[in-house]
Parts: sequence; structure tokens; C-alpha cells
Amino acid sequence: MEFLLIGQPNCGKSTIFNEVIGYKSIASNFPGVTVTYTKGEIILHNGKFNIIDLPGTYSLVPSDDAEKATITYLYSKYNEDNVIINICDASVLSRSLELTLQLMELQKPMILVLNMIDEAKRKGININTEKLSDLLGIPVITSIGREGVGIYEIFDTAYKLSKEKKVPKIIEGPADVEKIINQVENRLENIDLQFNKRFAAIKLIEKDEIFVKLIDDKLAETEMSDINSMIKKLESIPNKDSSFIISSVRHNMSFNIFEKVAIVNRNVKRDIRDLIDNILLHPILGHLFLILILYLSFQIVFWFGGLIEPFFGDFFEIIGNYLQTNFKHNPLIYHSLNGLVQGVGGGIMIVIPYLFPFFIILSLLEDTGYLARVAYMVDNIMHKIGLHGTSIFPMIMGYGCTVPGILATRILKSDRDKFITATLTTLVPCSARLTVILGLVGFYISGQAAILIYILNIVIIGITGKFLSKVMPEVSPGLILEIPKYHLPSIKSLLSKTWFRLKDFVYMAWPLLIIGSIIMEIISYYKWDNTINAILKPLTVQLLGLPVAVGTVLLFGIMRKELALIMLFSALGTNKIAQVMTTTQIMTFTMFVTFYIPCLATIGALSRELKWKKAGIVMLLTFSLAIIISFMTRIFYSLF
Amino acid sequence: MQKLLVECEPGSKVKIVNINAGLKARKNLQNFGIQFGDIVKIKRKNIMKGPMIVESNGSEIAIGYGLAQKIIVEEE
Repeated sequence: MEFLLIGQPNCGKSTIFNEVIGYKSIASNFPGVTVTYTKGEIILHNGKFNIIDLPGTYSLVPSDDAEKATITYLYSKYNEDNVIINICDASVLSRSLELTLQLMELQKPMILVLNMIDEAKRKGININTEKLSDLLGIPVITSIGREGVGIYEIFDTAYKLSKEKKVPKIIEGPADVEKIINQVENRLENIDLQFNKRFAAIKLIEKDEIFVKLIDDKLAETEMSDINSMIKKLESIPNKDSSFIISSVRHNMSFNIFEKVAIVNRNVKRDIRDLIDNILLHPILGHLFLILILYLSFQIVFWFGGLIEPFFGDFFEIIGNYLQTNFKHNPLIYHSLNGLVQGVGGGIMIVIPYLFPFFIILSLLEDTGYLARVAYMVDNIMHKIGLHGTSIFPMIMGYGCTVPGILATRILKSDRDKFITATLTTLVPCSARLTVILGLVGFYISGQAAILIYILNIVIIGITGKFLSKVMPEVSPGLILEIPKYHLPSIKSLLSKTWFRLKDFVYMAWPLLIIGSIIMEIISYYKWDNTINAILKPLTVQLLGLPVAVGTVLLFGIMRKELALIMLFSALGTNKIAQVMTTTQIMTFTMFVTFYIPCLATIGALSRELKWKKAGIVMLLTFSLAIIISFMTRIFYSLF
Repeated sequence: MQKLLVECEPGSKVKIVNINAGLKARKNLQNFGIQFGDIVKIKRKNIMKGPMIVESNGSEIAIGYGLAQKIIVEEE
């Protein structure tokens, strides 16, 4: 038995999920092919129930991959015993009801949860829940997710409903539309579909691509053409597309229901949060605050990382020394163990000092509602590189770890935007590259030079974006984004979001990092590095003017970029880099590491999100870019 | 008087008369509860062809400049 949590984005669905699952069992995440949903377990009246937290969706006709995943899951579980828990933000009830009406069409047991009911009251909206429940024929429950109010009632009602199996009322539309729905429904009468016939009829009329594909093989050509001519008849009168007619019917229905059940008091006090936006979204002041807020966020991460990283560094050095003294006589075991320790240690030294604080701050910006405003503020700048404001999310996340950054491109609506954003996100220096930039350039040259690399990086990202959008021109739908109300975030939600994103690194990147380090150590044991260095000589020595020993460093930097620094030390046999490399060489090397082929885990994420072919293009592109840029760096520095 | 949404100033209330955009964009707008006949209030506008924020059915939606050029409205 499953309880499916479905709702529009920002309705507080995940807060409710965490509230229930948080302490009763550990929420486990299973990465699907295209998207992740969260599953948890609760015990109610001595029975075990699974709760599935599906990605937020505005409607059952999807407009991006995350929404598609929700709908596909919903359809795949259609014939199983489950209860739909439709959660909506009560303060935007009228709009939310459109999804509710679509879910009701499924004719499965469901309940409607009016979440954030306090927010609705503050806005002066009073909802008569009994009347709403009567009109829809489903239980309606009010809740305040963040305070835990009404949570038990939601699942208790879902439990009762799972026994009763009562399905929602059928709410009929205007007569002319109903007539066509009935005709199509009758035409489907003798066909064995796994779905409710009326629901199937509506979906066919609506020309819902996902649904049509699902039942395509069940319909013969004659049936399809009959149904199509019925749809044509519907379209002929108002001369509008049938998908549009159906959605207009729902739009009007929701509005009418809202009018019947809600009393809106228009004379509520002006919300103080509007005043915050007068500053933060001010055309000029807003941009200044944006720069300030982002700058401070990064400063906090750097400060925290710099504070605790040495502690871990010392710790793993002690272990390294211990291995060296105790396994002197068995070099193969020593090298393998050393690789393992470096892999584990390297991961810890990224996760705890940098990724953890970065994702906490990012979640804080997201949960308060500021991140959506960032998208609004930068939309015009992003237009210059052919993208929209929404593309800023994955790119900002890329400063933490590229893997969750790439996965975040799912929120984008067009494949082209996804591709360009994913490419640009791989160019953003992640926290692993940060350690190289700080440890090499910051330490041996100067802090300003390190900042220069970051600025240069932004410029190059801009040029690449401009280039890609010229090569792939497309009229994309443009920015449409909900600007949520400011909220005080809950610690629980911050931590669970941070963990959710860290998991991408922990499960995808870290294992590769450990394997990579072990392989590298074994290679150095068998002394294969000389061969690799010789093969890469034309690139490293002749083109970029780097020491021959960096060949292996660069090759294995693909496994884990932050290791490039440690490996450079071991390849050159010293950690006094300034004695063996010139400023030009340090800059060239760092530029190359910053831009060239992303790490293995990123390649994995790219191929998952974009498929292999496009992932290959991204790799080729970043590699060529790295060669050009580092070559230019070499020329530039040797001129002075 | 009919005009484009993009020409409206913050503070004004307008009725949406037509949306001259593709099916995809219209669907996206619909998802946020913006359709013909709806009344929206313009809350803010960003500079340099930036997006605008409109209030519709109690929620605030940011709409890109290009899209706002395709939405025809009537001043209330």
C-alpha cells in the first residue's frame, strides 16, 4: 500500500514528508533513470505503509522532466492499491484546484490537504472545508506542515480511505464538452484499458502525449480516426485547440469552486514581506544586494573550509605516515592502502569543509525564497548568453559540486537550454577545483591571481554561452517562474535538502574517487607513469610548456580533480612547487585543470541527463576549451 | 484600450485578452493559472528588458520580457 504525495511546487509537500518520516524511519532516496523521488515508511494502526514524495508538478500535462517523472510514476502505479494525497498551498487555492481536478479524473481514492492554512488566513482567505469536501467528494484536511499541525490527521484519513476505497465525484463540464467526452468514452467501451474510461477519454481529447503513447498500441486505426473526428467536432465551434478547451474548462471549474468555498477579505494589512522585495527586487539596489549576498555566501564557505580543512589534512597525513612506517616491506599493499586512504580522505576534505556549508547556505537561500528572486534578477543578463534566469540554479550549485548541478538542469523546460546550461555548469569551478585554485595559485602566486581566475572563468562561461546559443538558435518559451513568499526555513528541511544534494557526491563521485586513487597508486608502484607522461608529452611539454611529470597528474585528474594538487606534489617529488614550476607554469596548469574534461562522476551525470552523444560533445568542447585557454595563458604570461 | 503586457506599468490591473505565444508557452502560463479573461496586477518590472512580476490568483509570477511582449491585455 502506497500513499502518493502529489502537489504543485512550493506547496510544502516535502516539509510534510520530512515531518512524518524524519524520526520514524530514514528516508531513502533511490535515483531513477531521470529523476529522484523520495520514499519513506510509516506504521499506522499496526500496518506498514510506503509514502512516496513525488517531484512537484503544476499539472498532469508535464512541461519538464521532473514533472514527467511524477506523471509516469502515477500512471505506472494506476492499478495498484494506493491513496493519492494531493497537497496544495491553501493561499493559492484557486490555481491549485486545477491539479486537484486533474487528479480526481483518475478516479482513485484521494484526499486534498490544504497546507499553509495560516498563510491563507493571513492573506484574508477563509475556506469552508466541509463545503469543498462536499463539492469534490473527497476528504479535505487543513494543515500547517512546518508546525506539524494536521499531519497525523492526513495519514489517519488516508488510512481510512484505503479501507473504504471511495473515489472522487465526477464533476461535469459544459454540455458540449461533456457530449464529446461521452462519445469518446463510449468508443472506448470494448477496449481493454488499464485506466478509467472517462479519464482515458479526457486525456485523448486533451492530446496528452505521454498518455496517448501509453495506450497507443491498444487502439486500432479505425478507433483512433473515429476519436480524432470527434475531437475535430469539438474544436470546430470555438475554433480552438481541444487541449486548450479542456484546460479552460478546468480553469473555470476551479475558479467557480473557489468562489463557492472561499471568502476573501480584501482589506488585510499590507504584508511586510512586500516591503523586503521593494529593496531586494529593486531594479538597481536589488542587483547590488544580489552581489553582496552571493559574495558573503561564498566568503562564509571559504572561511569555514579554510578553518577546518587543515585539521583533516593533518589527520590523514598522520595515517599516511603510519602506513609508510608499517608497510615498508610490502610496497604493493602500501600503495593500495595509501590510495584508499587518499580517496576516503580526499572525499572527506571536500564534503565537510566545503560542500556541507555550501549546500546549507544554498538551501537557506532556496528555502527563504531568495533563489527564485535571483533568477528574476539575472534573467536579463542570462538572456545575453541565450538562456533564462532559471539556468542560474544549476550553475550556482556547480560551485559546490558539478554532479548535483548537472542533475538540477532537470528543472529546465527545453532540451537546448538543458544542454547549454549543463555545458556551462561543468565549466563552473566546483569545490574540488577550488582546492586546486586556492592551493596552487592562491598559495604560490597570490590571492588576487586566484580571484582573477574566478573572474576569467565567468567571462569564459559567458563567451561559451554566447557561442553555443548562436550555434543552437531556438525560440524558447521564456521565463515563467513563481516567486514564492519569503519563509523562515526550518532546520529539518535545511538538513534534509543538504543531505539530499550531498548524496549525489557521496554515492556517485566518492566511490570513483576512491577507485581512482587506488589505481593511481598502483600505476606508480608499477612505474607506468613514465610511459603515460611520454605519450602526453606533445600536449604537456610542447604545447603548454609544463613539466613532463604532469602528464599522469592531468590524466588522473579526470578521476578526481582536487587530487591534481596532491598528485602534482608527488609527481614532482616536492611540495615546494615554486622551486620547480614557474608562475607561468602554475597559471597554465591551473587553467587547464579548471576547464578540461570534467571528473568521472560528472561524465556519469552528464550522460544520465543528456545521453552519451551530447555528453561526448560536452567533454570534447571543454577539453578543446582547456587547451586553447591554457595555451593563451602560457603566451600571455611569457610576454611579461 | 488594448496593449501589450510588457508596456504596462507596476501598479496597474489588466485583463488578459490574448496570448500570441506557442502552445508550450501557453501551457506554462496556464500551469500558473494565467489564461484569457484572467485579471492580473503588475507588481514589478526589472530594467534592461528584464522580466516582470504579476500577481494572479494570489500568487506572484515572474514572466520574461519576450513572453510579456506576446500577451495582449486590456486596462481595467
